[in-house]
Amino acid sequence: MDFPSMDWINAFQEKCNTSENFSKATAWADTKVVLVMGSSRFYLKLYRGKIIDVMDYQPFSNALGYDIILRAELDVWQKILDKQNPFLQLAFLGEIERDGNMLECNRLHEALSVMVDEIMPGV
Amino acid sequence: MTTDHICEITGHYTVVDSTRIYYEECGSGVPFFCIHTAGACSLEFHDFMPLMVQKGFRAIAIDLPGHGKSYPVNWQPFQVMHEYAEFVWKLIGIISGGEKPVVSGCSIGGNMVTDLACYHSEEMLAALAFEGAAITPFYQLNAYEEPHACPGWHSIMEQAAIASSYKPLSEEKAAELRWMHRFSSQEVAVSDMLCWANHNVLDKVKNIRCPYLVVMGEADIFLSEELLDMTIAEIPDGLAEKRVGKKFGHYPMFEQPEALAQIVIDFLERKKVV
Repeated sequence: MDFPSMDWINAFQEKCNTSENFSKATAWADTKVVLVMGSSRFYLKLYRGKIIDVMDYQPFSNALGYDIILRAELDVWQKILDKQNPFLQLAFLGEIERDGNMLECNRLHEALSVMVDEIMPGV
Repeated sequence: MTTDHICEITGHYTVVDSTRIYYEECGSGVPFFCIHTAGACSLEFHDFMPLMVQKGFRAIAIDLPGHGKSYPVNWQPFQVMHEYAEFVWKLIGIISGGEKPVVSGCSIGGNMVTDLACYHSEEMLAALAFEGAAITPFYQLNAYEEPHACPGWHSIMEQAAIASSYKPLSEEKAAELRWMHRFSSQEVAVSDMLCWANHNVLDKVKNIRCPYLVVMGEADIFLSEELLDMTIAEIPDGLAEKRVGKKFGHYPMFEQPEALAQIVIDFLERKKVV
């Protein structure tokens, strides 16, 4: 499976939706997350413990927008997939940019950590 | 968490500047103080204290003001490291009863030990800074003091602890490490981080007159060897040493208590403190 690709995002969605930790951390989420992976962008809709929708994200043609965006170059995401560095370290260093509604981003920090540190490397 | 030694540790209260402060101790001998990390409490040293007792020390771990069972001073957290350290120095004086102590601390505790050594080293046997330094630049987190400004603060703090520890980390250790960061309010923990970010005694370390050891774990993401080298460069008379420990990160007394105890005792013996 190519990374990044819609196949990869679909597999990621499936993993998230079978994770107890993800389910617990997003039990009261109603949040749109965009992952920017190099030149690829993916939209995820988190709602009540599940990712209920994923799609390729094109800012001009997507009327839903997003609440939280996580943006990094592909080599940085590769460090996550290889478990070289934890999410928070790369965020501290500015290699992964967290932006958008920061209240929502901080509120869902546990969920984002589970998605990035626990689930992504296993996709 | 091992529990076979817990019964040896007893809790006490004392009063400093009208503020009720909690500390724990075990053993008898030279006072050996342990100062915990941001947002945590004395529990962090429970695996380390008995190892110091075995070496003939009276091991004492404090709950910093506003943490664990200690009240904050005037109901406000400290936001300036030197003021924080001076309060703790009064506490050390009360508990040690005038006997010269060894003072250790980790993270903000390590920074506090470094501050104390700059001002009070002639009244200390040794200063041991774990995962701290003379300067520790970090983000200014003032905006996060109030819970409404950062509803997920405790998750961030706990994930930061896990991120800065050595891997692999067992699920049980990870759970305990997270729990150790649930002993202060968000306001106090953020204030601790402000003390960390604004701490800078580089121009004072030349005043240190007691043996000074700075220890950093190889997996720590909050420090660099460069900061440690800057810290010890101006300390005179060969009093200062640096160690980078294997297989631990930001919490050596919890991750590798035996290895840390060995580093400490080796240093104190060579410096003829014990």
